[in-house]
Amino acid sequence: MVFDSKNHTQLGAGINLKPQHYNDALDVLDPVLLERLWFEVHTENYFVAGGPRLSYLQAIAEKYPLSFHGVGGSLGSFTKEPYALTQSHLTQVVELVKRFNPILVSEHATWSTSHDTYFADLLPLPRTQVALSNLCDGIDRYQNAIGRSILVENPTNYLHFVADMDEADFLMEAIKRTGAGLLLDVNNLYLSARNTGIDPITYLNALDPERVGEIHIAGFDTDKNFPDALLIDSHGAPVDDAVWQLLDTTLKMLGSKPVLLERDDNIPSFQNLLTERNQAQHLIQQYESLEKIALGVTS
Amino acid sequence: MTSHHDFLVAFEQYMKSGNSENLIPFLPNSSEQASSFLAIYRNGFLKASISSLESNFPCIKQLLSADHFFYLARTYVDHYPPASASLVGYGMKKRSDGTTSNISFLDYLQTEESIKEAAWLLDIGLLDQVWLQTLNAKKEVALTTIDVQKKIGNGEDLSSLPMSLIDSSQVVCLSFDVFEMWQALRFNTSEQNATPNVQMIPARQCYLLFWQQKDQVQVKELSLAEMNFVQTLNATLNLEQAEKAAVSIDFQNKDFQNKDFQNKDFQNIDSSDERKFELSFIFAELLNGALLKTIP
Repeated sequence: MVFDSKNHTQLGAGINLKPQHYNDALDVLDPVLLERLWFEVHTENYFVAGGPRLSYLQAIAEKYPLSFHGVGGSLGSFTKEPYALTQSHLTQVVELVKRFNPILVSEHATWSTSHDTYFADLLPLPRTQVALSNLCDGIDRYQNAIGRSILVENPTNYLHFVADMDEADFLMEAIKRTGAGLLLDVNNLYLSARNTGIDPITYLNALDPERVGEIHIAGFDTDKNFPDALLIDSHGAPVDDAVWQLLDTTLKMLGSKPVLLERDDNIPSFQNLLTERNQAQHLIQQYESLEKIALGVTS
Repeated sequence: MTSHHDFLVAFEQYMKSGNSENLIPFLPNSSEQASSFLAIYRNGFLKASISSLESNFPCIKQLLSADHFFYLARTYVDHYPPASASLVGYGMKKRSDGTTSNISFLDYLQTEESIKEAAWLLDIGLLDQVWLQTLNAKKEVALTTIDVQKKIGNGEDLSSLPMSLIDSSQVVCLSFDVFEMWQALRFNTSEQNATPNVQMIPARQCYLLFWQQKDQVQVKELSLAEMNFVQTLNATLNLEQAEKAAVSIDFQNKDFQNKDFQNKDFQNIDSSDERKFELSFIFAELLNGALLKTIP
């Protein structure tokens, strides 16, 4: 159960799907778009027994590759006896994965649940050996439950916590031990660099390109009290130029990868999102062409 | 020496109370600015939880001032934070088939002094809740007219066949005449800029049956006898017992008016009137509404 990024080279640039865009997505007829477009959904938004939400998801899954991106798995708070709350969550994830068989399943290298409360946010982990071990246990539990490897996403950091190692090393070690892949959120990397002063190039250099299965891009907000020092991962604005540049650098360093445009707030029209998504698709194709030339492949 | 467990406990304490004192050992650059940055996590949690209550109780939100709703939602989140790792259904009454917080948002509102004068608001919230729960309920195979004809053709006695209403169905008992107002708010069907007259809401006992059919929420107003019929049927799975319960009730639901609801996700097929309770009539209605299922 080891993640292999070569299995997903057909994916181009995708969009995280919001309910207001269900019909737009189903109405797409452009064959060029249909060839590489894919959608990602937040797994927990489909924790329902039935109704139109699941029906739409079924229709989308029949037309496009679909990815499940979890936000409540709380991989980093694993205890030897998982909380009932975490167990119940995982049971629902298993049901959805079994029903929809998504092309990718991902979660976060964070935590969000205690024994009785879901803190609906992606909370940070100290990068210690014990935290690493806990995270690996959480990833193992998740992967064993769904019977396949997952991608684990790097968090946005707003401040430093105690750490025995850099985040890239922390994540690569977790991935090495568990067979998972990395979902590299370039927006998160940019914000972490701005908020905590890390060097994104050093970070990217520490990653194994073979284990990076997906890239996220999104927009951010500046904190009104600390506009120069604190950038917030809001997914409420178009992708910033600086993040586009970092995506370009990332693809150059890691090779072409599936890219997912995230937008969860101030949601624009589907057409606007497609235009932004097409910019990412153009970048992917540019690096795919370069890779083909380097390999001596002619189309 | 601090452990990972200590970190999680300290962070949990911070998230619940805003007190970051126990997190200091985990912050190498502890400062006033660090405390401010830490607030991003707590604010994110509160914002997401409150936003979920707004989505799940949209009509309550529309009827209160923004500040008042925020106050109520924020206090509820403080006392009863999400207890399952998904915000779908947060604040809703626990159903036998669901996992939601034990004290619902409506339970909490009942104890809230600032809305004591507007008890009808609880009925609005109840309709918000039941509509969403019904919309997201599981699809079921309902008994059809053809099934019934086959059973009769096979000589089966329908009255002894165990049956109940489908699981998505819920009977709602309202104390105030708020259904039309709720419908206008929920589906934006009121005249433009019309503000509901919340000063003149009369008390009126009313029973509504909600269920899901083809991904749409259906509703039917029930007489007291019909309400007793469906509740007894669900409890006993027996048509004869349900009929007995229904006919023993004096009809009290005299002020029914036909309503014509049409909405993308919300339709009604019929409403009760002052008719005398007849098993054959309600059985046909339930059958046509795909509301009945047999119990193996």
